[in-house]
This record gives sequence, C-alpha cells and structure tokens, in this order.
Amino acid sequence: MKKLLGITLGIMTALGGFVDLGQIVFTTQAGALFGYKLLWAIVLGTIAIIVYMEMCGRVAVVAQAPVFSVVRTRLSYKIGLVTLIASNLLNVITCAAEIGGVAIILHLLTGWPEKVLLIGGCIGVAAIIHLSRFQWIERVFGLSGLLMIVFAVAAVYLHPDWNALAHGLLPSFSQPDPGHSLLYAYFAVGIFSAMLMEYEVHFYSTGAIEEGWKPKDLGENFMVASLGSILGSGLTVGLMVVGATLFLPRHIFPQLLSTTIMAGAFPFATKALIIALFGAMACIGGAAIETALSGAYNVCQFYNFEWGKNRPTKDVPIFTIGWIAMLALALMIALTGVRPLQLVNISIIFGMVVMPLTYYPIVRAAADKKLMGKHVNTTFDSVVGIVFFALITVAALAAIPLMIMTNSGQP
Amino acid sequence: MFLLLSLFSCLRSNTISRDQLRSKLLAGISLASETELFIDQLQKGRATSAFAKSHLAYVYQEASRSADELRQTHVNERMADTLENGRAQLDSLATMLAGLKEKPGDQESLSAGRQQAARIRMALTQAKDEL
Repeated sequence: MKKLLGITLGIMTALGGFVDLGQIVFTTQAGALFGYKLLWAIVLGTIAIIVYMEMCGRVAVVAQAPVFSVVRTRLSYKIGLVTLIASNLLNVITCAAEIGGVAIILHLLTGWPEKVLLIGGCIGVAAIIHLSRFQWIERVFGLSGLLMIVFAVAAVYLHPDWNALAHGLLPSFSQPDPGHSLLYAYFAVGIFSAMLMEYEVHFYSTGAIEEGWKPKDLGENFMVASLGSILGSGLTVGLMVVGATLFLPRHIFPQLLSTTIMAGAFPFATKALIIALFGAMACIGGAAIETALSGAYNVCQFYNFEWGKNRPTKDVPIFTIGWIAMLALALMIALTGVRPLQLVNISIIFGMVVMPLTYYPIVRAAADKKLMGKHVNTTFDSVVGIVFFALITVAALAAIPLMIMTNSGQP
Repeated sequence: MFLLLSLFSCLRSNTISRDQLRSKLLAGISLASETELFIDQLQKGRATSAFAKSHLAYVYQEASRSADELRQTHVNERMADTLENGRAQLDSLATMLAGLKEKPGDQESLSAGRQQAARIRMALTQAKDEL
C-alpha cells in the first residue's frame, strides 16, 4: 500500500505539470487547430520528462541533492543565480495564473464574485500547505486530479478518427501556408515546454527527499516517474482529442478555461461537468502548490538554508517565508486583473527559454561517476539525456521568435 | 526581456494588416460558434445554473473585448467596411450574450440566441472570405 501511495508523487508532479491551466487550454487549442497532428509532441515530451524525472530523482536520492543544489554546484555562481531568479520568476507567474485558474473554477461552481474567490482560494491553498504533510498534499491532489479522466472518457465517446490519431504520432511537415507552419511550430514548442516545466523536476526531486527515499527505492523511482507521466500524458492526449473532435469541425479556437471544461463534459450530463470542474481544480490547485513550494525549495537549496515541508515551521523559517511570499506575490499579480491564460502563455514560452539551464546540470550530475557511484548514468541514459537536451536547446532558441511571429499562437 | 516585449507590443501601431484583420474575424467566428455549441448544451440541460451564467459572462467579456479592439483598430480604405461589419457583428453578439447570461434557463431566449449566433457566425465567415 505504501508503495502504491508513493506513486502519487509522480501523479501529482505530472498532473500539476502536464494538466495545469496552461496545458488544459493550450493542448485543446492545438487539437482545435491541427487535429491530431501534434500528438507526437506529447509523446516526445512524455519520454523526455520520464528521462529527466528519473535522473533527477536518482541524483536526489543518491547524492541527497535536489535540483537546485545540483544547479549551485554544477554551474558557476552567476549562472546559477540567473537560473534561480528566472526559475522563481516563472514560478511566481505560473502560480499567479494557477491561482487565477482556481478562482475561475470556483466561480464556475458557485457563481460568487471572482475577486473574493481569488483571495479565498489563495488563503485556502496557503492553509492546505501549512496544515498538510507533504505526503498528504501529493496524495490528495494527485488522486483527486484523476477526476480529469472524464476528459479521456469524453475523448473516446466523441469517436475520434483512430487512423488520423495514429498518423499524429509522426510530425507533419506539410501545412497549407507558411503562417500555419509557424503556428504548428509554436504549438509544438509550447506543448513540449509545458510538459517539461522546470517546477516539475524541482518538485519531484525535492519530493523524493521529503519522502525519505533511499538508494534501495531507486527501482520505484523509474516506476513512479513513468506511471505518473504516462497518466498525465494520457489525459493530455484526451484534451487534444476533445479539441480535435469537438472544436476543429466547428472552427472554435477555445480561449477560455470554461470552454475547455465544458468540452470535457460535452457528451454527458451535469454530473460530468461537476466532475470535470473538480478534476481541473485539483490539477490547477496542485500546480499552484507545486509552484509556490518549488519557489521556496529553490531558494533554500541554492543558498543551503534549512528546508522541508514536514519539518516544524520554526526550524525552517526561510522556507516558510519563501512559500508564503510566493503565494502573496502571485496573489498580487492575479489581483491586477491580468488574465490567467495570458500569464500562463508567457510562463510556457519563457520557461522554455531558461529550460536548458535547469536540465544541463541534471544530465551532468547523473553522469558523474564520482557523485553517483554505481548509480551513474549508463551510456544509453547519457545519450538519451543529451539528445533531449539538444532538443530543449533548439526549442529554447525558437520559442521567443515563434511567439512574436505568431502573435502568441493566434490563428 | 518581458518588459521589452511588452513595450514593443505597446509601440506597435493600431493599423492592422489583412492577415491581422482575418485573425480577428476568425476569433469572432470562434466566439459565435462556441455560443451556438454552448446554447445547445443549455437546451439539453447539461450545465448547472452557476456554470451557465459564469461561462456566458466570460464569453460576453471576450466578445466585448474583441469588439473594442476592432473599434480601436484602423485598416486601409479597402478593408474599412469589413472591419466595421466585423465590429458590428461582435457588438451584436455581446449584446445578445449580455441578455442571455441573465436568464440562461429561458428556452425562448436560448432558441432566439442560437439563431442569432448562427447568423453572426455566417456574417463573419462571409466577411472573412471576402477579404
């Protein structure tokens, strides 16, 4: 049972990363524009995140060094500091978007004023972080996020074209015009980026230490990383299929979270809508918690301060101030009235730009025989890690030009 | 970098190209089509009252925002009529949604709203095709 519950770390990490506010809308938009033609980007992103989650989990367990300790030791202080600032800026922006998303869902459920729900939702998230042990956070959000399965069921129920879906596993290079090709590339980069968001590996590697994993648990590490990611990936495919079957034929380009949620429950009755709302709230709320905690973990791990969600508050004052500050800043941004989806678009694309700085130290540390001993990367691990790192670098270079040229993915 | 990009977008002129106008019309078509789809759901009783009101309010905000954007936009003379037509259609969609979000359970309003959304979608599609 304990082993089974251990999988919830992978599930929450993946759902909070894959099926957060941005990905819910972004992937549905991709389906609405290109049908199944970007399915390969989800598959590629899934393999990449499994590879890196496994690597950073292994490094965390063997070297007792989560990602930002590795960043500190593997990069120069200046580059490490730039990575820390950029990562936490992205965490704050993403957290603001996710808190905004939670408020939207609460508004859709209750009809109460959104500003009140924004503040209430943020206080609720803070209370959950303060009152719950790490394991319970991951279990509650990981398992309740599984309600999103309603999207996968809807996807099957809407009778997708399985043949076209299978063709989507390979990249398509023929688009009707150059504008479409740019949009296609933008969405490919965006999907890949959203699946590899930095906070996922920060949260996962720290979670492995919070849960007290030992080298003997490394067999489970791969299973947890794989199962969680494959599950998140399956739901992401469901979102794309819903976009392709429901929106593409009707020329709808979904720009609202509520549109996507409505689509998830489309073939069914009101109860399915409520399930979809709760599932989305668990995933988006989980992402808000992941980003807030990741911000605090990053600072503490970089500067070697005491940290730990399960430790008494008085023993980890900077960590506690850190996540509270993250939430407070996120709330301030959300209260300015900026639309959550605008924020999340920014975080996905700028997240891609700084991504190489997060993944490079992981690949290097996992391949360091002195640090990892018998748990060092095999040649195959290193080659796969380097290939994905090259892809990440190419996508990072292309992200901002594509964002400008496509007006942030507007058809 | 983000500040620079924001500054860059603010400095851009309000005069838009044919492709940009086409993109805005596509967004309008999407909103009208989405309204039709959602009204279908409401007619089948597949949404809670809170969801219906809130979602219609969000779509209304989007339609109003898109209409405002077109109001503040300029195009060359050849496309001026298309721009004006697009803005008028989006205004009309926003007005219809404003009424509908107040009584999403009223079947008569839903039927009328669905027909109006379909007309708006077709008018916007025609405007886009004529560009």
